[in-house]
Amino acid sequence: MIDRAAQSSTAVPPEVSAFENVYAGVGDYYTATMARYGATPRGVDWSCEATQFLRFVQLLKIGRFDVPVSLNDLGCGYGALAVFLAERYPTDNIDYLGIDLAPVMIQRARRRHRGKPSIRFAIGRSSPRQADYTVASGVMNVKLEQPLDLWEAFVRTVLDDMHRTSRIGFAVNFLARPNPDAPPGQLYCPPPETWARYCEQSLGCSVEVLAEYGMREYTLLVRRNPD
Amino acid sequence: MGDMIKDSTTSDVFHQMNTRMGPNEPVKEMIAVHKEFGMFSEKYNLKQAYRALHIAPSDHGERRKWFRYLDSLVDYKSDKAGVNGHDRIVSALRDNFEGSAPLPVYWLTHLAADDDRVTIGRGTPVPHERQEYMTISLPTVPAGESPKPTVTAARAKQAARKK
Repeated sequence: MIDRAAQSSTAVPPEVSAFENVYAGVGDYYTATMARYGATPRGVDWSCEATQFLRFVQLLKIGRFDVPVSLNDLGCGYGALAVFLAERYPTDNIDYLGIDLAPVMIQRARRRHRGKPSIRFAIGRSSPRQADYTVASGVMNVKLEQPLDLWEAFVRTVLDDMHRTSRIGFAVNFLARPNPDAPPGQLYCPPPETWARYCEQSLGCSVEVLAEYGMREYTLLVRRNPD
Repeated sequence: MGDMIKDSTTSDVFHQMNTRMGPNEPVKEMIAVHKEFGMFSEKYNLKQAYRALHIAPSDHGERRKWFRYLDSLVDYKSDKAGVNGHDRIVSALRDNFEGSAPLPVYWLTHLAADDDRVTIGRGTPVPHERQEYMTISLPTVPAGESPKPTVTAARAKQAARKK
């Protein structure tokens, strides 16, 4: 006979348990792309460095980075944003923390940015610290075979985490349309209003939607409202 | 191209260039990238721009040859007096992407025996499309038909030394 009380006290909530599969799927996917293409934009599923940097330009519109500031980069991959920041803002003003759930990515990132004290990396699913800003590029695009409702619960969790770990605001991009080469149903392409509304109504933030910057995607700039 | 890179590589990179600079979304992306980073300007040569755009042969063994070919375009003539082939391509792309009505770009080749210059034009090079493109045509000598004077001279020198 099953002891239902005991079962309910020890069982992992179904959503959390299901997220294990999501994180495992995402981790495996990017570990495989990294193994195939190395520490290059293709290794994190972008077509080239130029378009990857164009995405960073949009995400960084969340704030000013020519003044001392702290930044979390969720799903940092091999640390391409840190390279971009160093080129665009050569001073050491930015206290950067890159977070990725794939250990192989963090290993590559640390190797690439060795000896730079203001650039650090951590393995994880969310940021271990609060920073002025958090950005995430492409972390919610590759749904693979996950059911839509589970994936959207995952997106909600990520946005909640970004909000919790950002003092001023956060920026995130989503695909507007799938790439014609992509297998059908594996990419997540929500309309902009879906998550803009969530950030406004559930997180109580102001949202700016950046679109029409030449790519099949849009960027949400989400800022905390003054208390 | 011709003797410099394999025919299969030429097809591969031309397909990439024509896809990445093709009508609608691709050319819009290229315009956005150019406007943000000045991709086609005196800031970068074609080799640097193409590396950043990841327009390169899928065959890794051919990459070095492809980038060497792009560098060699400075030795080509163009349809603009006093401007070499490389600089003509860069300025044509810049003018197109910064213009008020930018066109998608179509890359093709022509026989160097007919015209040894890099030529820029506009037209409808794809017979089944009515789309107008800016065209960039590169002169080529079919593989095996170029005189290769330096290789021939080097071999003759080596043979003479052995005697």
